Amino acid sequence: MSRKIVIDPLTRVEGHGKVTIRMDDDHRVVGTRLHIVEFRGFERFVQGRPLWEAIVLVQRLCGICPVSHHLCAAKAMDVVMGVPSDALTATGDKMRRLMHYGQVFQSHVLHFFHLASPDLLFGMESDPAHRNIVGVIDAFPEIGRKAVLMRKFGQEVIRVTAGKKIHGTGAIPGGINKHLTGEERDALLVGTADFNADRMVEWAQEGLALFKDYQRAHTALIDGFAAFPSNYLSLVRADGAMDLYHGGLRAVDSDGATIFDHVDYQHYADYIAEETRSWTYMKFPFIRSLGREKGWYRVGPLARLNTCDFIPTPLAQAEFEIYKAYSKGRPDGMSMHMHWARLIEALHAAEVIRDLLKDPDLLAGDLVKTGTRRGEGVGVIEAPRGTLFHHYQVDDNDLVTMCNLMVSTTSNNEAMNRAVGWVADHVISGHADVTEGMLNQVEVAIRAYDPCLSCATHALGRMPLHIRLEDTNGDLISEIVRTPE
Amino acid sequence: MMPSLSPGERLLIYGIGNVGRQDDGLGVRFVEHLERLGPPAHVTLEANYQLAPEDALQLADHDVVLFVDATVAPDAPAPYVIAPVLPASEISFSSHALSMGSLLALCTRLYGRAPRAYAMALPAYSFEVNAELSEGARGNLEQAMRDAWPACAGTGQEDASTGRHRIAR
Repeated sequence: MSRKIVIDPLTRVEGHGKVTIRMDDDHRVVGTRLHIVEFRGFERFVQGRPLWEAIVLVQRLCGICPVSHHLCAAKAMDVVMGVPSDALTATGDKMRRLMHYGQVFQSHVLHFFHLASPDLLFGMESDPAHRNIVGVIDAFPEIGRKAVLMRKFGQEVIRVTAGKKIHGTGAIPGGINKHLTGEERDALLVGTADFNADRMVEWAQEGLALFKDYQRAHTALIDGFAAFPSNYLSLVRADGAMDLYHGGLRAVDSDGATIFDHVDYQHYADYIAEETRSWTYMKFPFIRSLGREKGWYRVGPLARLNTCDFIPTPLAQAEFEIYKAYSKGRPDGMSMHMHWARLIEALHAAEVIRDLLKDPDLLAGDLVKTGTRRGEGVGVIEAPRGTLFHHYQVDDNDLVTMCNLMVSTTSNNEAMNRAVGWVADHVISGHADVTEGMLNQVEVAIRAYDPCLSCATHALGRMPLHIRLEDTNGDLISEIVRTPE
Repeated sequence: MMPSLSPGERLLIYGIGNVGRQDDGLGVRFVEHLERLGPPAHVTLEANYQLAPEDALQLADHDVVLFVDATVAPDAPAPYVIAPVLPASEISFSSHALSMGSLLALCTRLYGRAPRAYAMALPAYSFEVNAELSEGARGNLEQAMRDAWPACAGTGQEDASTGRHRIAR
């Protein structure tokens, strides 16, 4: 009798994730699937809403990166209001950038500290009783103390630019609705001994060094785990630099050859299509010119370091050069190097924040620009997890008539499925007893992509992990449930 | 077990959830209501989609924390139930959210102290993309707000044996 392993965290919003691994009578894996029930109802929810309200409402999509949705929607509505997002006032542009890099910084810190570091510091098959954030604090209290302050710093950057920690209103069509005050700037730039922009740069370097040390000590594991080639997509600046806020779309293949470059994202649909499959509501985007089979791609930190030519801050650039030298200048397909790339980006974000805080345009200057209104706009931003698309059509009464969102977890759907398949084939297949450590490696592969699995709804009583062993008829063989407390 | 405050103690009320997903936002609605009424100086109000590690900083500055969240537990009594929360170390399935127990454990490990903690769980019934609460959830919330406010304002029932104000029903 063949059997099926299902890892099913009963979660929420765009975030219901489940892993199914089907095994035959000899315990050989014969198929794997990662189901992430992407949340689509939100697009209908936004229809009929005023365009200014949509910019605020979309933050309810995701409790992890609401700022990315806020800014992406604002960028789309900039276009509707006749103001290209690269033509905002200096104050509008820099305040938004500060908000965005604050979001990226705190998000990357959360991922590394909360989700990745337990596996890296203790090992993927270590005792789960301490393979968690509390275990990290027990064993490495100084890392935990710094990570909490780094998170807090990023949240404060968001609060002073967006107006609030959650449900911010800072970005508006054509610009921003506030300046930074001198007090707000000083609290971040100078702050206290352990809470200032320079300290964040320093600690970001320490986090990166931690990963690099681990990678050197466990090279085979980190480099070989769920490694596979793919295409890569991100925004890049006009000169090829990494730019997480704005740019043109660039896609490269697994050899680094350009597929398209500096594409105006208003025309993204000419270059990217979305495929549906019968077993999941989540779509599978692909590059049109390569077709459905060969056109899938990855987004996020790994992709961004594979597409950009350089990073425009000195410390992150130095690390980028080390990273590129390691992969011999070729695109890096190693899933676990996503952590490496993410930490280089965290360092870059810290440098950008520090430099922006010194810019007088944050404190004074025009906030909003206006132009000739049109009925449609696309916004694209490099969210922490990857390229995020917002597309709206608006009627003459400023009401949204169409909304299409393509989130980064969707773009990484195929890659995450392949990563799960890699673990199933290389770690689980052939074993009669599937251990917790083996299943954790499935999660490690998924975690590398930092998908939003539990973002925006949070009711008590939902179980974080549900493993079902089923036969081919779907009948239950055995079941393991991890309860929250 | 009923939470109670001694004179001079600081209370943090932390609402959790997403008001864009109907009843999931019960905890945030609760806090928003108290904000409109204007809490006394010893009460801090906070709300977010979910708990995160940096919340440990705020917890460490308070004597008591009341987490307020929706619940889908089938045996949760309406209109709400309050239960103590203890520090706990847990595994999560690739979730960005921290549990209440993990946050308390984090707070204790980092700062050597954690507040007495309680969870107010309000039964929730509907999680569609809609800002409107279901009828049942609205009733639960209204009762919880009626009960909580007097204690927050310092006029709650006083326990004769301890002289402490009771926060909840």
